[in-house]
Amino acid sequence: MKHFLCLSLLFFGCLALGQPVRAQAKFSVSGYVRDAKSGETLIGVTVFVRGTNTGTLTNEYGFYSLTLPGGDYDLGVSYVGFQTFAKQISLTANQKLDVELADEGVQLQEVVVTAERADANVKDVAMSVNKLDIKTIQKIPAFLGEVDVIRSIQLLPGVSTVGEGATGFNVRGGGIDQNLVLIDEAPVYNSAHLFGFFSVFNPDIVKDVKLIKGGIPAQYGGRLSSILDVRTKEGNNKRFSGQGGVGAIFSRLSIEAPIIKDKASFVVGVRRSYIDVLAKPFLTGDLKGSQFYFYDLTAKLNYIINAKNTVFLSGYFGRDVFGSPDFRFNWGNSTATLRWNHVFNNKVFMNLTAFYSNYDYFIGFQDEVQNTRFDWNSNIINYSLKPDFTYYLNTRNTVRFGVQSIVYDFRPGNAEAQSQQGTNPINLDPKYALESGVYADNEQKIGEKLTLQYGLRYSVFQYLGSGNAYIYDQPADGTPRTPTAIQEYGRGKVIKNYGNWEPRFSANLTLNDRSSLKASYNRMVQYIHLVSNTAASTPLDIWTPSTNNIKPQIADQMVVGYFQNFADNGYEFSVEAYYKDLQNQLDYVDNANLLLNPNLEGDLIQGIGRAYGLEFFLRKSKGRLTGFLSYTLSRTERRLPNTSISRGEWFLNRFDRPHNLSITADYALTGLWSIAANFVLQSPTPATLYTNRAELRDLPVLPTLPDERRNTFRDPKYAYHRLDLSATKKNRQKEGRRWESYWVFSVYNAYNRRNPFSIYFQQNPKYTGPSENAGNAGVNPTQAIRYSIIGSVVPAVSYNFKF
Amino acid sequence: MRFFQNFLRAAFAAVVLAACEDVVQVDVTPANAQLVVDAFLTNRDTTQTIRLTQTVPYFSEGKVPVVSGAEILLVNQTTGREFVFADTKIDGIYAWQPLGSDSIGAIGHSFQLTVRHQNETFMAQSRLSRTTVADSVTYDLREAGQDPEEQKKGYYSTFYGRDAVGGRDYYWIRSYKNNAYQSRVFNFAVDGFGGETDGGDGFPFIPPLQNLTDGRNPAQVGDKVRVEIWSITRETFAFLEQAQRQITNGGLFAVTPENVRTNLKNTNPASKTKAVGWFSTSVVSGLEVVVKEK
Repeated sequence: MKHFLCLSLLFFGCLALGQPVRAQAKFSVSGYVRDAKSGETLIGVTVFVRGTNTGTLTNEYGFYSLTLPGGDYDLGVSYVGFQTFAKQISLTANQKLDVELADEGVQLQEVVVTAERADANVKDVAMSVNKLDIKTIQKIPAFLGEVDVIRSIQLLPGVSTVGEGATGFNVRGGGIDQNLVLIDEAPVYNSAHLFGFFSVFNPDIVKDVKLIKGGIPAQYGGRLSSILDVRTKEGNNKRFSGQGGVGAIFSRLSIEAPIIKDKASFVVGVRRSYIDVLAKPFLTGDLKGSQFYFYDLTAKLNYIINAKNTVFLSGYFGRDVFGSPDFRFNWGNSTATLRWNHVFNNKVFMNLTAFYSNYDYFIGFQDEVQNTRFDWNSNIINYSLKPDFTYYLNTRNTVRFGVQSIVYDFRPGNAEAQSQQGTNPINLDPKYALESGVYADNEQKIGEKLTLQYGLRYSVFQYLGSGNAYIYDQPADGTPRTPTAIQEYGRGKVIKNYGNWEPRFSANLTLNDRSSLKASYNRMVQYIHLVSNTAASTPLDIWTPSTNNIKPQIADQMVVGYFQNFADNGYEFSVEAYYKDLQNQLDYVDNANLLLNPNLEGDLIQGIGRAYGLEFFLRKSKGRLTGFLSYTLSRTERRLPNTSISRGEWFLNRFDRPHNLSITADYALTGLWSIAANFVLQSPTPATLYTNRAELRDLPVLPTLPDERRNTFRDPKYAYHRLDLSATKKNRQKEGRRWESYWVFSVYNAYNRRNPFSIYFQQNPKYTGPSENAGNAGVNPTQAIRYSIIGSVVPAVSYNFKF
Repeated sequence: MRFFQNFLRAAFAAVVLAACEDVVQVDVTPANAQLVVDAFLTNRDTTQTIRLTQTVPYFSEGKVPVVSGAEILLVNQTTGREFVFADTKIDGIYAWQPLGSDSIGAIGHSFQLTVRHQNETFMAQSRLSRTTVADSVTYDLREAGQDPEEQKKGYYSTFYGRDAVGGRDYYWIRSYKNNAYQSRVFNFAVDGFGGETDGGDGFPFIPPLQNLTDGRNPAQVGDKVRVEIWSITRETFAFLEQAQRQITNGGLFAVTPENVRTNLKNTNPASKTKAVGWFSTSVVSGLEVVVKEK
């Protein structure tokens, strides 16, 4: 509370300084902007006084508020893809104005790529932000023809991945756990289906995707590198409708309908893969009885109670399942979010979010002959409450403030072994924590040219009992440590407390109508960590809180950028340079044991990191040809000083890719066809390779690495490049019928490049060793392997519909 | 946890039908050779041997160079008895030959190994722990699998047994075909199964720990199949687990290549010379069957 008061004083102090006192009476006009066809609220719509520079944008819930001196105004509401709404208003008192925008018609919508304000690139104070609406994502040629949010994100500047098929994504040199991935504000702890080929987001339900890589506003916290804010759409509150598709790997169906016309509606979407069904005839021998599939369900209910109150209830539930008669393995996320939008008055808007999120996996083995069974599961569960207020103080200041608390319940491993003699439970201690944040932030216009956004967040993290605190005397020098004492804490007792100030700042200096300079600084603090030491994260990786031994990760990021639009906002261009300084980055001692290890903290060490880069982005959003080009030049490194890890020197991160280029283009042909292409060119990721080997009689090839340095090998001939193509054919809509459909034909990896995911060394499978063994004559003991996830052209066709 | 790693790999392979591996040529600069100590001893009444060699460049072929002229001394620290291991044939094999039913010691005894070579001295510790017994070995005839290289036609054997009740026990389960150790069947366990947790105590061994057959080399009628259960220390278990992780490393879920730990410590803290390898002492139980036509 003390901190909250400090923040309040700080803010209102700033506001007072920034605001000359004026005598004239002022009034507000406020309300919601919705799509006339479906009743869906629209995000980022411009509401402005025609013929002036005065205006505002609708927020994440479609709400706006504009405060003006009393008088007559010619008000405009405009949004790309919709007809501009205009109305004369006479402002003599506070007034409410809800607007429904009609879309511009199918023809024009076809060539619209972005659904944001045309000059947002230049005018918004936000930088390092990429918005992709679902229409843009749908135009990018996709793997197996299936549109995917995270794979599309990976084409943006500053975003990369350790390799195709890997879970998650890396933003500006950060690890995959440094991205806060939100679906309707609830965090998703594993965003992958089928290990990473697809993400958990059903594109038919997604309304808006925003990736924030820098200049992160104060309302967000808890991760270092980025916020991926995915928002689902609201159900159509005018009529029953739906959409879906049948593809090579899975099918989708979603339906939406009003419950109370114009007031309440729902949307529900499901997906299920069926490669297991298709593959069944080929699964013989030891593969017989194999299962591998995923499914997910995304649903949302919204109810406009009255002009002041709206509630949303949304949920996601998904699961990946693998199994055979002896093994069962599945994992998935579930989230539930309840939100209440309340308009206190014309100037104060509140959103109260309560969410629940759970990620868990299960592994089971069974042997019917011996009647034995071994089941194991692990969870991370959290609950959160987050009231967030927006105060539209006046046309020059918009203040946002709020608090958030998250309760974490980590269950790293609960197992049960059963034999004829009985059942033995095997439990790793659960861990509990409470993360809280209080924040305030103001977006202030100073004069006609300068906009500032400044904010502060104070975060507190409490590692709580009941639990055991492990005490280590030995310094973390890169060798595993054994606890010297284990201290027990009772339920709710604070084992360790951390608190951090997180300043956030962004500025936009408008040079002219078409160009601006922007700069930002932010400090982010991350209190929970994904424990993973494999090239790509596995579904078995567990999350751990900061403890008395694991310190919170901290990142300071500075960004400067130049933004320009040209050809009547038909092209957007930006170049940004960033530098990031990272503290307490999680790493592992050599040969760390991360699974079912009660003394896990003894195998963890923390180091420093740095990442820097230059990002170019060019987007064409008008005309028949649309698309974007992004290029990133970057570096990401880590160091574990005073340890033996890579000799305590700086080394490259496993996902470092200095050059990263992607081009995606869509061309609308005359008639019903459109074609699209996507090209990606990236430096290969670095690798650590053995240089020598030892021979033990029972371990014929024991690799060694006397040099001890990590990630020093990189050969340009293993650069990653790939071309994808697609063609979309719209079917003619029958007169008077609502059924619209289109076919998508796609080719992934069109020129059959065998891109290596990694190069690794191994014992030759034909070698039985040791070397004097006669059977080994003429067999090389070792070999280097190029491992490619996709080793061929992948064609696909899908049929999609809407009604 | 090899179960899970292997299973993950199999699950991933099932999804990614298009994934592929091919052999490529990669040049790396090898470092200077290091001493390799291969000292896995048992308390059986047979000749105990320690082999000294040198590391070689990763892609080198042929035999590894042996190291002769070193001094090796084993001390049973519980009884104070010393055992000299001598390289009588100058072939890098240092041996101690027991007379009659003599052995290096009994369950509970502690050992220290000292290796002196070229002015460097390396020392390591180990202990003899109890082991458990195999109750039975069964086998069944299997046809060739989907990949006939990986699963050849032949007799596949399985053993049954359970962890000794009480305490934490570590085992290396070793498979032999016609007295030849099958290095590709690489099984080790904490109590009844893997993992450093309570709860596996007294548990029967479960698959894949029970498997004794390398699919590339299954048994045929008349072959002798033997399982040996070697007791190992917690440290040796960790060594095997690390070695396995590095030896079978690769693919999507590869771990960072790194040196497997050694328990051979240079007694001169100022010296930069390191040795590679491991010293271990085991109590052994075994069960052998001869494969008959089924």
